[in-house]
Amino acid sequence: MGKTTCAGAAALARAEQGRRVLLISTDPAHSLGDLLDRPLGAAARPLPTRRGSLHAAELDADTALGRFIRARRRELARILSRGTYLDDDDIERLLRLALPGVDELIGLLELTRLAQARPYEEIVVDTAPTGHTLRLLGMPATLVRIAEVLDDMQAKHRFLSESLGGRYRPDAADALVEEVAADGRRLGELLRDPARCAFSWILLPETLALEETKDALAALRADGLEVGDVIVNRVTPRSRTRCAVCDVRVRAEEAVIDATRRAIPHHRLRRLPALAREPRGVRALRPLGRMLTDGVDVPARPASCRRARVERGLVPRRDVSPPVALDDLIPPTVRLVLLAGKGGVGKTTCAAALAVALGGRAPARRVLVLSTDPAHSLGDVLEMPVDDDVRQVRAGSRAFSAREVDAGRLLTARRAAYLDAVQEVFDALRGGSSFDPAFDRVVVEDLIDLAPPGIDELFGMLAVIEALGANGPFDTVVVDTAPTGHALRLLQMPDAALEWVHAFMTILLKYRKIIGLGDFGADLLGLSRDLRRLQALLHDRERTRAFAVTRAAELPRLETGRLVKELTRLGIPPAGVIVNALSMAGSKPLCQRCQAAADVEQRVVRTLAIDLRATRHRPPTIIGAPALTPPPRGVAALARWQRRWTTVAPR
Amino acid sequence: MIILDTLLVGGIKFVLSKIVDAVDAELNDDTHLREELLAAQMRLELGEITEQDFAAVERELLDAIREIRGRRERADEGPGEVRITGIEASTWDEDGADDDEAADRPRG
Repeated sequence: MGKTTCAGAAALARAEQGRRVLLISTDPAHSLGDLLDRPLGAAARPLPTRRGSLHAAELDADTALGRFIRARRRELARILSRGTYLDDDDIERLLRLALPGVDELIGLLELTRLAQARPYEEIVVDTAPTGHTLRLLGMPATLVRIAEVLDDMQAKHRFLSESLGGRYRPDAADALVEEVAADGRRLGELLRDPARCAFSWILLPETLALEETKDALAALRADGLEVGDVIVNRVTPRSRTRCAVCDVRVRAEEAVIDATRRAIPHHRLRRLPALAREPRGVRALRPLGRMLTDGVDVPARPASCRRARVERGLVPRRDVSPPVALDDLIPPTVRLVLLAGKGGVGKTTCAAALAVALGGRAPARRVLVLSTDPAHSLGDVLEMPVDDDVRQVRAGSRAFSAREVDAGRLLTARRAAYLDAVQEVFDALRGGSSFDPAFDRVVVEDLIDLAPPGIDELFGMLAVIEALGANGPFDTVVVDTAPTGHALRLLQMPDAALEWVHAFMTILLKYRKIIGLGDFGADLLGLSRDLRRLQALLHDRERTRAFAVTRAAELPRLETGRLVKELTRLGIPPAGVIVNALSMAGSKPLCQRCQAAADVEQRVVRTLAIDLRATRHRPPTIIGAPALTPPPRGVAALARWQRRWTTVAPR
Repeated sequence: MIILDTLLVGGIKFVLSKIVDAVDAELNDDTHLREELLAAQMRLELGEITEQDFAAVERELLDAIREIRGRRERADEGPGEVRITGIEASTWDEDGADDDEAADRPRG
């Protein structure tokens, strides 16, 4: 929805007011380099400015975490060795494992490290899309909790030292605990201090974006974080001539902006116009930056307008664009359908439309559409309540199920179950003696209480296993993933999780004479088998179909190229690229602006086709999904819309 | 470490009663055999043992489980279950050194 563009433009404008500014992206799928039209990396690089100074960097979370652990390996190993029964081999093995959810965990810490490297006056952060930004902002609290766990691990050592030696002298391990706790506290305070930290929220003038904004602002406020400016980006300017596209679009957008003003009356609402040319490079960002700093505010009393609800797009020319046959796109043998793509391109709408289409196929198959993005909008697209319980959707001859994975709720439920199990183990260990291994109990309870980073990906993956596993109730699952970076994290999760499960199994086997294998061993064995089945499914082209969803614009095109490459590298080459909201060539008169925009789209799709042919021996099919104003909502509209998807064959 | 703590605090009596339980379980309870089976399944999953190794272990364990079941069924019909009534402690002598497994097993 233009986060990166707005962040870039704002950073440039602030720098050219004479400040020293650092611009940094924490989204694992970076597009800052695309925006600035130059390669960026984890080290800050200078950009040309007329005044002040501007450096830009793209965070590399995996490398940053590796560096963080390497620098503290001895202390971490010492704490683990003091606080657990693990030996050096076990600890080495655990410290070497890849950490899922690393982006959120390390994001803020790495930001601090970069910020201290030079005397910046301001740091502008381009974050990951909604769901994972909420996780990122919750990370200071997690750091404090991690420090508490490490401290509890030290407690037994401290107690024994005092009992045996009389006095305890803090060492490097205690210093590490204090460092992590202090970082957590400091970052938490920084985020909540309006004098030092300001949040800007960016949305498109679309109902779905407004719903997500309302939810997110409420969640942020509940956490003590206040958003300042709310920026409505890419607002269609009024056309001077009659136009089949923008007349309807302007009315629909005004209705959404009006609703936004009413929904969040206490925020300053600003609007940025849709630009004819997507700004790329420092020079192109300059006018946008001025617009942001000078500010074009939305008037408090918006112009009166009727609520537009006309489902109308440009008629695709069927002679040149053959309609997509569902059975070619997703043959009946397919069990897993994955949709990935940049934030705001319409993944959820496409996923819902595919589920609707598959739910109407004969002979009937049991279909589930599953959203794993922590910022859900499946319910809004289907226009019905959807939550973590699997819900049946029936509309005419169509039937399917829907679920939005709620990782927080699932974690709470698991915690309760595991805490009971831990009580049992420790009670069994006591075996009637008055001795209570209190220190160990606290450490294990701590570990269970600690929300692991990457819980959305973990529970998303478990939900897929649950739906499709050995006795899974569904034939086909359509997964609506979080935006690109975290969709890739989700797809890497089975490998990462399997490594952890195998590490736990090895350790459990090693100590089984003391603690027994019990239900935990059986759980790990089951999970290991499920994960291997899921890996096999993911890499099976007969049973898995991945699609990249994108829009016909430069930044999404560049990201799609990388997404396709990355999916191919993971052994899940996408079968298709769905170009959403495409203005189809039609017979209705367009205004000059819309005609120019349609021409730009055509050029982007042509370049995309060339990119795709270059990356793969068998390039994915390009599918065009027509732009509708407003976008399709509800089962019937989604079904009609999906039937209008066409195969795009750019010449 | 757990054993050390337990010894220090819980005392020798606690340990001896545990040993009685363990021997009793070995003779009349198939729980530990199921645990052995689970361990073998886990080792197979980890690739530490081959399918053939696993099949051999599985056969042996399932036979033992069947034997215990049979003994239990017979016990339901009349006396026959082996009962442990006490434990006699003695020091390990030199013949215990040639077999680690044997050294782990209490004798009474």
